[in-house]
Amino acid sequence: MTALITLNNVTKFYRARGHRRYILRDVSARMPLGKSIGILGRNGAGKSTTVRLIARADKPNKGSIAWAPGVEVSWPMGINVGFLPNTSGRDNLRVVSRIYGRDWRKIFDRVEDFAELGKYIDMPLSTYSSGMRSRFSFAMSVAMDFDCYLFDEVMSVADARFRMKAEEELARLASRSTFVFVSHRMRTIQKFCQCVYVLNDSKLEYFESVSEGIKRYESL
Amino acid sequence: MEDRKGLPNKPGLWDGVRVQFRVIKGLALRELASEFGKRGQGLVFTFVTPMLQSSVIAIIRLVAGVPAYGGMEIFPFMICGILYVRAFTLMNGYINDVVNSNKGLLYFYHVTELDLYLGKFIARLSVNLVAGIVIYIVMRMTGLAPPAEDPMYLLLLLIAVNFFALGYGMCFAAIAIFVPTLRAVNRWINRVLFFTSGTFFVMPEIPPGFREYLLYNPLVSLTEWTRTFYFMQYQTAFGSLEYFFEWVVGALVLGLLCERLARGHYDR
Repeated sequence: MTALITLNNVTKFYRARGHRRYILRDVSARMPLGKSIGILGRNGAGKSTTVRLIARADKPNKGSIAWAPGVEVSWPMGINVGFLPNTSGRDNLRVVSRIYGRDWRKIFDRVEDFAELGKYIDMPLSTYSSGMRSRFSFAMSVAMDFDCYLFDEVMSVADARFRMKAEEELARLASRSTFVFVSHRMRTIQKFCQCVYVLNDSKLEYFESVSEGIKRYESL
Repeated sequence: MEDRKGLPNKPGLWDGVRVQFRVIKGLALRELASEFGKRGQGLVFTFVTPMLQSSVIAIIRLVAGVPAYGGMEIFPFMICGILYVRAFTLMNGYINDVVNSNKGLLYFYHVTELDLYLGKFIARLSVNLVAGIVIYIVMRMTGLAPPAEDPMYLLLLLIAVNFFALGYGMCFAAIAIFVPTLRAVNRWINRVLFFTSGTFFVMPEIPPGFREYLLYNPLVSLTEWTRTFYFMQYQTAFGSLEYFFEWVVGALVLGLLCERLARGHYDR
């Protein structure tokens, strides 16, 4: 199996009151290329941290994480991460586009059209509601072309209309890119993922069948 | 879809450098935009503030009957102190805060703490250079100042003091991740450095007993030499350029070392 993302003996822990709280402990995994992956786990299991590690936004305490050569992975799209809260949507968009070497004007047109933020695009992100932030974050990421998109519960607070629109966009992107989803919405996992990892007790368990993975998750 | 440049199959050193340049350029442009706003009012203040400060001190000195030492013109005398020492204190302050105020950008894997420092540094350095040149032109056009003796050396010193602040600021910023009270200590040290830097005086005006202590402050050597390079009639017998550049190089080496050791320890 060719791997999109390879985790080699990865350990990640946080220190809390003098103790180590392990998120991942000596985890090795080869996330398959060409398949969209769901990461399931109970609240606090460390799914978001795992996605951050995959995105290289965080470093493991031990072990290494590698992407397949030539593959570009997005940042982990969540609601409260990765942008500058006191800066406007437009300026955030500008700096992130430049970081990724994209033409910010083209990205701006797509985001403006997709997120439907109106005049809020020129207001600081801190003034956005969580739904607006999720719209902005989602629109920003899909406006850029990646081989693999990482989603961390980004749609959980969006309204039904935007969710539908987002799902249509994901269906369109699925023809040329893959996804890593962290979501508690099993419908999304079933619709877009071809395999599942269940995170439990600092270990990642792989399921080739999505329904088997969901069953395992529900039994936790 | 988007015209992305994509990643090469086997990224080499040059690819990494290219990405790093792109990131730093993006961050520097953001810093310039956030600092000066859409109407550029911040840019105007960058020129006006040191000129105002210099004017106030110059007037106080003239009213008190203490003109600049050795027949130097009072306004450029003050500018030679304020412009350079202000560049140091401001840059140092910005470098100290830059990671904290851009923490969200560390979420993008291309961006490291060093990129944030360098983005801010490039933005501020360009502003300080433009400010220096504009102020010089204004002083010359209004007849407030004679032509500088060695403008290229003055420019070199302005660049050097910015590098000094970068290294010095990175040291404090990196160590402050583990010892947060160091930020407050840095602010106090900054004040002491400023008031003892020779911004308002030259060394011959200081009693010998104090002078030997003041000379430990590398900014004293800086201000002594900016005045030496500006005025034909002043040749410093106290400041040492070697001593100042030793500090510049030492601060940069130590700053880069501290940054590398502290990288990734920032609470993201």
